[in-house]
Amino acid sequence: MTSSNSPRLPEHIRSLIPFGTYEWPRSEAEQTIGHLFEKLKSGLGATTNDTAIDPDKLENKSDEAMRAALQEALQTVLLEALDATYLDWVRSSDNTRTRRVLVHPPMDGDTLSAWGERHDIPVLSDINQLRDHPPETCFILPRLEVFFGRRVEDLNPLFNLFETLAKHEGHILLGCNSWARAFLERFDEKQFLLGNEDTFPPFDADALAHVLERALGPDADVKSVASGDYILNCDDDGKLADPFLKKLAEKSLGHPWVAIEVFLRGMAEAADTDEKTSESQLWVKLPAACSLPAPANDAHLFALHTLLIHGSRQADELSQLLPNPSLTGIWLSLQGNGFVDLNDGQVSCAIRSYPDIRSELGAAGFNLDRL
Amino acid sequence: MEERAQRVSNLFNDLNGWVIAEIILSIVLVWVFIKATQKILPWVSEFLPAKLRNLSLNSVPVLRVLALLFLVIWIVPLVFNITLQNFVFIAGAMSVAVGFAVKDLASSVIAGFVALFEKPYRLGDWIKIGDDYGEVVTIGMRAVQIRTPDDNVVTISHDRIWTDNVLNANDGFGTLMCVATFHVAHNQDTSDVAELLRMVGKTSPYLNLDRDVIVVAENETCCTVYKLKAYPFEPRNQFAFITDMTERGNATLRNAGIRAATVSDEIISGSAKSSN
Repeated sequence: MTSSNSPRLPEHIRSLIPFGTYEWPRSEAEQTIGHLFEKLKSGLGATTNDTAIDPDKLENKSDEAMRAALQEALQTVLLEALDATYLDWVRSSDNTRTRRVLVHPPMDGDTLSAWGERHDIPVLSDINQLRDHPPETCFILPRLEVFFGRRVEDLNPLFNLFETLAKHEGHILLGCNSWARAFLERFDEKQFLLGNEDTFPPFDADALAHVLERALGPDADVKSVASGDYILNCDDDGKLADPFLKKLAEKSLGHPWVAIEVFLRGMAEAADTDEKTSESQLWVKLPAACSLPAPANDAHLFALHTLLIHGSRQADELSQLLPNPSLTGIWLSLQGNGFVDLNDGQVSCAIRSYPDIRSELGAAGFNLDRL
Repeated sequence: MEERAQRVSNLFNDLNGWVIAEIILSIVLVWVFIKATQKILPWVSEFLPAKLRNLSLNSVPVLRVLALLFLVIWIVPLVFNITLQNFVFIAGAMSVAVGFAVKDLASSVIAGFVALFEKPYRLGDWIKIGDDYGEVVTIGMRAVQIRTPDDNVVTISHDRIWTDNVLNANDGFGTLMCVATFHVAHNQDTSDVAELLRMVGKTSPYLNLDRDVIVVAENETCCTVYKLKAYPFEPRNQFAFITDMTERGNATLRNAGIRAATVSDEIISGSAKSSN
């Protein structure tokens, strides 16, 4: 059970941070080498016997209610951070900064749209809506990446958008995927027209503990498989006693929505009732890294990079943007390896595998996103 | 005569069975170490991004030289009785032997040693020496081996660096410039060609997004030549990158109504006459 002096919402996640100041929990080289080491370990079939409970006595647990509770708790924290950063600006008549951009790594939901709806700020999704919008009023454009494809002929909507944005005098808040931003970095129009950029702060162990505690309650009975200790317990100094959440924050690269999915993926309960101290007792561990089929995986990597830049889209549409558009079955293959989710032909990045995807791309030399 | 025999015998230490075993063991250990680094580090580097790969590969020849130096420093005192007099004697004898018998080999080995510090090429670099272009796959004591785009391995003696220019496309960096060339006909509106080609470069999936895309135009007698210059994120993708830029560049220019340069009938007939 958690002690009474559990961590409060850390100060550093109460608002967004300027783009470029994100402190990655692990450097790119550390992440790549760590990922290779994990792959090597899992390839050699290495298992650790140094666990508090026999992993064979655990069975995976999938709990949609818990997922919803965790996502809601996180959404509340993220919306509060957006409030702290943007609300005063949106309501002001500050003409020195009329455009601001929220740069974020791939996410499941659309937090920026939810924030706009919460404050009755128009959320626009296509250029026609933008043209009809009064030029001096504020609006949100949550997904810049939907306005282009990585082909010469698919850049026109983006240039039309930039042209329309240039004529707009009111405040504009844009959302942009960090991978799309990296792609747009070399376009002069982007430099001229888009304004100050912000991003979500990295969530460390304390911040994740706050989200977990908010969702699961102060008496959450969650133990680490590695140590057998309660993951939310604090020591006398008010710091988390168990290293699980620190490792989770590192593995999820500081992105809390990734941490939630990794947490849920590593969640299990004791199969044998003798092992349980309560009915709601849960055990968590860090799941093994996903890896691409070796050795000929260039097509997979290009597909993943394309998916990250363009965001969730129809499989056919994404395939047209690959170096080899005629390659069939690539998305099914990636789904089989746990890298993407397929739903009615719509491909999206499997958030739980995002750190592994990023590591695979980094190891192959692809340009990574920046925050 | 006896004095001379005495001097020669003073040159060498007593070589008993233990000393010989120690020498053999040292040679075997150094050989195993060199072979292991030559196998393991390139294997590890295949999993690393280009910049880390170069670091890993570049340590192979350095480790080999260090290992050989260690071997020489270890073995020489075991065999020779090192005094100033003996050192001068041995050095003189070796100079004569090297000068007459293996001067080319010595020149290559010395050039290889110089190359280690001057770094005209490193493992993983894409270099051109003479007519041969390819990726450096091995740097030996005497020669460097490159793998050409046609998958041939060419062995080039190090001493070529004394006489030939060495063209290094990436010089230890993780990327290199690729150029796709387009010939556009005169007498048409070509103001947008450079911008179209720049977009072709910027949208290539092989592009290194950290580097600029440049288009250079030049007027020639029969056409305007556009060179689209950009960097791939991975040097090994250079040919796929050039092909991608060329294919998509041609299609983009065609779709925009830009005519490619054609060779006039006069030139064709002129070249036919000259060949006859």
